[in-house]
Amino acid sequence: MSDSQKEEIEALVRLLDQHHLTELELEKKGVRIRIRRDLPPVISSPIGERFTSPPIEQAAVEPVASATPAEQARFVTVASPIVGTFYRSPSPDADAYVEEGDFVKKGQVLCIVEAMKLMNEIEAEADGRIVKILLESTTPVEYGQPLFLLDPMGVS
Amino acid sequence: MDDLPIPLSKNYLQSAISTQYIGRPTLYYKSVTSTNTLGFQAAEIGISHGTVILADHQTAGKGRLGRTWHSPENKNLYFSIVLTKPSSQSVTSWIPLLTGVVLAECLESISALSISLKWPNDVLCHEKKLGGILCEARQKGASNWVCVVGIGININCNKDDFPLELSPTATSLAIESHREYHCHDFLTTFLEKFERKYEHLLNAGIHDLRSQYILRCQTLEQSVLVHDMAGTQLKGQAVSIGDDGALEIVTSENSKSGIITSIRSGDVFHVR
Repeated sequence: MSDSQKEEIEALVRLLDQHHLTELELEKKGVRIRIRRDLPPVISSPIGERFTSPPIEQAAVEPVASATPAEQARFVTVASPIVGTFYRSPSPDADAYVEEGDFVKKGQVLCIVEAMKLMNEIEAEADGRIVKILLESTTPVEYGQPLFLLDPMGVS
Repeated sequence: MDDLPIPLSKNYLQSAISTQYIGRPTLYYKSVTSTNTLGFQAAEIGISHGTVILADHQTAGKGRLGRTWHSPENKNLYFSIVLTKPSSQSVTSWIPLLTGVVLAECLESISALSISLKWPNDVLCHEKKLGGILCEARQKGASNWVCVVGIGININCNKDDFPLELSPTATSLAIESHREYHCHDFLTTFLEKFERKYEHLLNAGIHDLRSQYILRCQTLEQSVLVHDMAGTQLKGQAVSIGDDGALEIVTSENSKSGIITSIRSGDVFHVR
């Protein structure tokens, strides 16, 4: 790696830090540089203050106390595809789509994330057991924020 | 999954419409439970991107968060556009607002009425609601995405067609302009404009759409009250529209600092 490339990468790292970003990708003359870091989970205000919550991708999730390290490693994080509001049920009076411990089928709706009245139903990508629900209903969520931990081996 | 009901026509608008993919085909039904529900079922069996589900009547028209949408027969337009090609987050969050702008522009051009939007996409004429938009998406991992844009527009219904609880807040083109309209001519115009604006959003980004939206949005520069589903209430001044279509307000508590709060959900009320 040349000195100028090193400097360029260092400048990108500073940029990442200055703007509280978690990921930055630059493609120039056929060379792609991708820098990524993990931040702790976001605590958002009730309706989502601007600039308070940096986007996170696969951010650190609190380990599940009862799970062994081997179990932890195989858990799949279901993340929010958009910035919005997380709902655990289809309407305020309805039952939650899923509870912790439930077995879910691939394609089963787990929650809704709403943004600008676009209601995004998030489906399970695989059969499995809901190990942990990481947020309360009506919480604001960021892009890529973990919503559920799913154990794909935990099928009934 | 249940088989889909058989449409009256599988290419209802084909000869009249000049789009590339929106409304191609348009599946036309006499009566359905909800055009959005049918749109998702049709997506499951692999219909093409841009297919439109059109019905004369909905027996269980859907509103947001489990609410129902009143759908009298043969007087209004009820249809859904099924989008199956995934788009970026920055495009997706603008789809509800884009739909509102297209609807407002089309309604204004055929009726000469003044049509405005209440954030994010309530279509208003003289402060009453002319139509409803319900955008629903299903995400199965990163690449499998379906978005159904459901639209109900009150075209030719009269005051007696609305249930009592809706009559103070709902209206129709016919009520406001004292004439009747050809629903399916309006649909063709709408779908053509929708495709043009959607393509522009995909190719050129949000800049032009945001400008058009801001011109229409009567929520801006108003005092607003926001109720979210958690029961939180926020009062403030609506000042701008964010990059993702969020309503940006300065709350009463932040009026000195000018700190902006972005609203992405909840019911927004204009406060006089």
